[in-house]
Amino acid sequence: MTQASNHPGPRAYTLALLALLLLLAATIGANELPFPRAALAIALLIASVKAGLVVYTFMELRDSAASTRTTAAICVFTAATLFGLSAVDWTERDRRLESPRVPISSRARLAGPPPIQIDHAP
Amino acid sequence: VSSAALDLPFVSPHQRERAALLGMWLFIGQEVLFFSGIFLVYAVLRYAHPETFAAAHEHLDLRIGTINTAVLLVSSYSAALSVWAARTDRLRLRATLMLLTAALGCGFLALKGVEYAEKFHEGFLPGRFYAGSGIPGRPDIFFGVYFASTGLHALHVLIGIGLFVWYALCRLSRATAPRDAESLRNSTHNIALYWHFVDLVWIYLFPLLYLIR
Repeated sequence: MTQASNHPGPRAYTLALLALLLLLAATIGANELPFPRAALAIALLIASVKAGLVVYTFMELRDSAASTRTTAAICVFTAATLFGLSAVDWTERDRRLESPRVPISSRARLAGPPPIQIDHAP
Repeated sequence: VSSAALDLPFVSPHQRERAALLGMWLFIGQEVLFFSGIFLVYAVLRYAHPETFAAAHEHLDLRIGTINTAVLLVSSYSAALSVWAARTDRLRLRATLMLLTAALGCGFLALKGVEYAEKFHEGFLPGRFYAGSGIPGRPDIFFGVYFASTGLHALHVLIGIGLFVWYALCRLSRATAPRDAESLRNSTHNIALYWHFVDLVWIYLFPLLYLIR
């Protein structure tokens, strides 16, 4: 039983591969641009475009069942929540330490343990 | 397809194919969350030690990282083609493409091994094993993240290679009955999905480790 009619074929895969290799070259090229502060954002943006190409063409998410697409969407949402809530905690931690509403007795607990110092000198 | 070829609760081969793919996507979903933990550790440590991460990445081999990225992208292409070959009943081509994908995976691991050997030789190791020099701050932390993330990724590549070789060789001559042909398509598709996920992880690891500014 042949089921190739509803799915991408070699032509779509070849075009996707060429686009992915071009985006890889773009990643290397963008790293040489004189915008060091934006380099990370550009690199992650290009990586996300590459990931989208892989997911939609090679993994055929576009042609998958609604249940499969929903699973992928929930997965992305859950991962985004993990990063988002962790980022909120990390960026707000210093502010909470400085807040007069936080009792001094709680600040050490909020700050966590002191950094470990390792002496690598022989 | 005769009713004897269908296991309950499936009413059609198409429904069984969709169920098999959904199962694989659920597995990939938990793998995404597993690697998200690794990426989160990377983000927190990079935020805490920006100078160290910027200096330490200079000691990674960008040329090997770039070649390995291209190798994995091409291997994803051959994996996708193997699914197409299975769908169109080109069984020998399917097996050849699966073996090609496995060979490209081996090439990826070989290059990664060369890079690991360089790091071992230079003493750029995690934690208390660190014996390198010339990097400010806590390079032992950077190389901890480097070895943990790339090591876990390499383990996934190794598992993928095993699956491709096993299903290319051991299932080559069995696809005679309709049920076997359908099983062959589903297993090829699921292994390819797993391989594409491994490729996805590297697509993000490559800029985060090798292209830090």
